[in-house]
Amino acid sequence: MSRLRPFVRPLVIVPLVAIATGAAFAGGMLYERDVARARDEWGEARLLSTAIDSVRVNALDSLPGDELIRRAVSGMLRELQDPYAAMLSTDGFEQYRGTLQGAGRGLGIAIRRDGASHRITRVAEGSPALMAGVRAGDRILAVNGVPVAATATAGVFDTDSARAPASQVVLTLWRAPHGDTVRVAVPRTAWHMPAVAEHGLLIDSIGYVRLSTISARSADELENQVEELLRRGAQSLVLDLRGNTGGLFEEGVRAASLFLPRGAIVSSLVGRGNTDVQPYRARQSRWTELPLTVLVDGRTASAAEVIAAALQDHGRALLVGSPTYGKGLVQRVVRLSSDIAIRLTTARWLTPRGVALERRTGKGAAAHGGIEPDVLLDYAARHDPYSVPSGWSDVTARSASVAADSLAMLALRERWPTRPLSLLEEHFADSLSAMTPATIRAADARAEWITVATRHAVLRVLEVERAPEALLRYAARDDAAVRAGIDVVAPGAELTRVTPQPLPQPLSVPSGRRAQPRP
Amino acid sequence: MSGWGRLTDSRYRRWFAVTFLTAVVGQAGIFGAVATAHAQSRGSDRLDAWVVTRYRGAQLFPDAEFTATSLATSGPRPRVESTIAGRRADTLVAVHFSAMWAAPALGKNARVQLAGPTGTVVPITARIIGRRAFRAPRTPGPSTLRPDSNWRYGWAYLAVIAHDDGRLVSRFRGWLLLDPLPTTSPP
Repeated sequence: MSRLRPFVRPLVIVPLVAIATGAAFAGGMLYERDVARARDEWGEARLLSTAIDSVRVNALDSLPGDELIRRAVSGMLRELQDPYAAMLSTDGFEQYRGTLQGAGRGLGIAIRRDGASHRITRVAEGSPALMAGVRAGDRILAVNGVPVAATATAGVFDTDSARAPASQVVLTLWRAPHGDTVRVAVPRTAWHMPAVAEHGLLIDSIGYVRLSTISARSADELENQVEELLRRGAQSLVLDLRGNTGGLFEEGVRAASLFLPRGAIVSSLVGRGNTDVQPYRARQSRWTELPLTVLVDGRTASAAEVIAAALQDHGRALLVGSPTYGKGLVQRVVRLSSDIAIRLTTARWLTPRGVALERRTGKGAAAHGGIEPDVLLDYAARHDPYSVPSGWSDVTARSASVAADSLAMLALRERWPTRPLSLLEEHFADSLSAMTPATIRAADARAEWITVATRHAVLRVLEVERAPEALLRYAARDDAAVRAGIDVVAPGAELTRVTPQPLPQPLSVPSGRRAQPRP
Repeated sequence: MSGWGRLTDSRYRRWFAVTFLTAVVGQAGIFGAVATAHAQSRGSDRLDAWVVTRYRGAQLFPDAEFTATSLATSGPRPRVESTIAGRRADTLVAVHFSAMWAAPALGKNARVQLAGPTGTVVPITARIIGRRAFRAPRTPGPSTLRPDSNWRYGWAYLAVIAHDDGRLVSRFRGWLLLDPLPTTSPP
C-alpha cells in the first residue's frame, strides 16, 4: 500500500486542480458576462441620459429635465404597441388604485336632467348621499344655495378634494309627492361603492344580481347577495355582467369559483414567451348546481370575461347577449417614483379550454372575437327605462316626461292603488290618452307616446315609493337581455302581466267650442 | 265560312271570350299560389336560419298542425326580437317560449295586431308569413334524457308590415304580436 502512495497522490491532486481551475475559469466567464451586461445596461442608460442632457442643453425649444424624462417614458410605452400601457401621474395612480379597491366617487347619486330640473334617479348603497337622507325621486332645486339651473353640476358634485370647494354640499331638494322643500348637507367623504349595483327577485323563484365592476371585495359581495336571494326563495339566478369592464383578475377568479366545483381550473395566466402557464383553480366553491344564466354584451371585458368564460367552458351557464369585448390581457402597475407609475401588460389569461381571447371586431351577427354567447340578441346593452324613441323631438320627449310626472304625483297624492302594476298601467294609459299633445295625430305615434309616458309614470311612482325591487322588475320587462335570460331559466315566465287594451280615442273638441263656420 | 268570319260570329266570340278569361284567371291563380308558396318557403328558410343563428344548439320541428286561429290562450305572447327594414315591407321576428311543448299562439297566414310593451294596441296589422316550432337548450350541452329540464320549447314567427318611410321599424323591438282584439259595439 505504501508503495502505491506516490502514484495515488498525483492521481487525486491533478484532477482536483483541473476541476478547480475549470470552475474558476467558468466563474470568471459568468462574472465577466454579468459585468459586461451591467456595463451594457449602464452604457444604454448613460446613452439615454446623454440624449436627454443633449436635448435639454442644445434643443431650441427645450423642456425642463423632469418633463423630458416623463415624455421619454411615455414615448417608450407608446412604442411598445401595448394599447393598455400608460404612464400614470400621482392622481391617475390614486384613481386607478381607488377604482380597483372600489372607492366611491361623487356623492353617490345618479341624476337625470329633465329640462331645467335635475331629478335624482338612484342613490347608491353606502354613499354619503344615502347616509344624509337623500332619496331617489327628489328633485334638486339648489346646490349650496345656488339655483341648480345656473350651476354646472359636473363640478359641484365632484369629490376630488383638490377641486372640491367645501367639505360638504348642501342640497335643497323638492320632495315628491307633496312638494316639501328639504335641505340636506351631504359630506364629501370616502365611501365604498358596492360591486353589486342591483339585486332582487325578478319573479318569486328567479334571482337577479348585476355585478358592475370587479373590485377588491366583489366576490364577497356577490356571495352575500346570492346567499340572501336564495334565502328569500330564489331557485335560479340571472347574473348580469353587461357593461362590466372588469378589474382585478384574482377577484374574477374568486367570483367564478362560487359556481364551480372545487379544484376546477377557472383560468390560467401565461407570461412572456408563452412558457410558464400558471393555472388558477376554484377554491371557494358554493353553488355548483344552481341553474344559472349570464348576461353579457360588447362592454363585458377583462375580469368579467374571466367569469363568463369559466362558467361557459365548464357547462355551468348559458351566456345571453352579444359577443364580449375580448380583453384577454392582464396589466400590472409598477411605481417608478413618488409621482410616476407605469401600467404594463404583463400576461395573457386563458379560458379553461386554453383559449386566449381576441379583441372583438365587427358588429351584430358578423362580430368576431370575444366570447360568443349561446343566445345571440340584436340589442343586448342595458335598457335605460327612461329612454325615449330615437326619432322623438325634445318637445315630444318633454311633453311625455311632464305629463308622466304630473300624473304620477297626482296618483301618489290621491293614493291610487299602485298594485298590481298592470292595473296602475291601465289607469295611467287611460289618463295619458287624454293628455296626448294635439300635434301627435298618427295612431301609432299616439300609441307610442302613451306607452312611453305610461312607463315613465309607473317608474316615477316606484321611485318615490322607494320600491327598488319592483322598479327592477318593471324596468327589466323592457330589457331584451333580461327577458331572454329569464326565458332560459324559467321559460314562459312573465315579469309583469301585460293587459292588451285598444288605443283610446283622442279627445274631441267639445262641440260648443268648435269654430263656427263663417256665414 | 272563313276563320275570320267564324270569330266574328257571336257564338264563337262568346266561346273565345270565356276560354280566354278562364285561361287568364287560371294562370293568375296558379301564379299566385306558386308565388305565395315560394314566399312562404323563402320566409320559412329565413326564419329557420334566424332561429339556428340566435339560439346555439336549437333543434327545429316540423309544423305539423294547421291552425288558422290562435291556440295558446294563456302564457306569454310572442314578442318582437328582431326587425329588418325593407323597401316595401318591414319584417318582424317574434318568439315565445314555454317549459313544455305548447301550441302556437298565432296561426299561419294570420293577420295580427301590434301592441306596445305596456299593452296599448295600435291599428297596425302584420301578416304572419312563416312560423317554426323549435327547442333550445336551457343548460349547456343538454341531454335528451331529461327533456323537461334541459330544453325549452319555442315558437318563432315571421311577420311583415307595410313599410313607412317616416317610421323606424326598430322601434317595434320588444312589442307584442296579438290576435285582433274583438270589436265591441257600444251599449
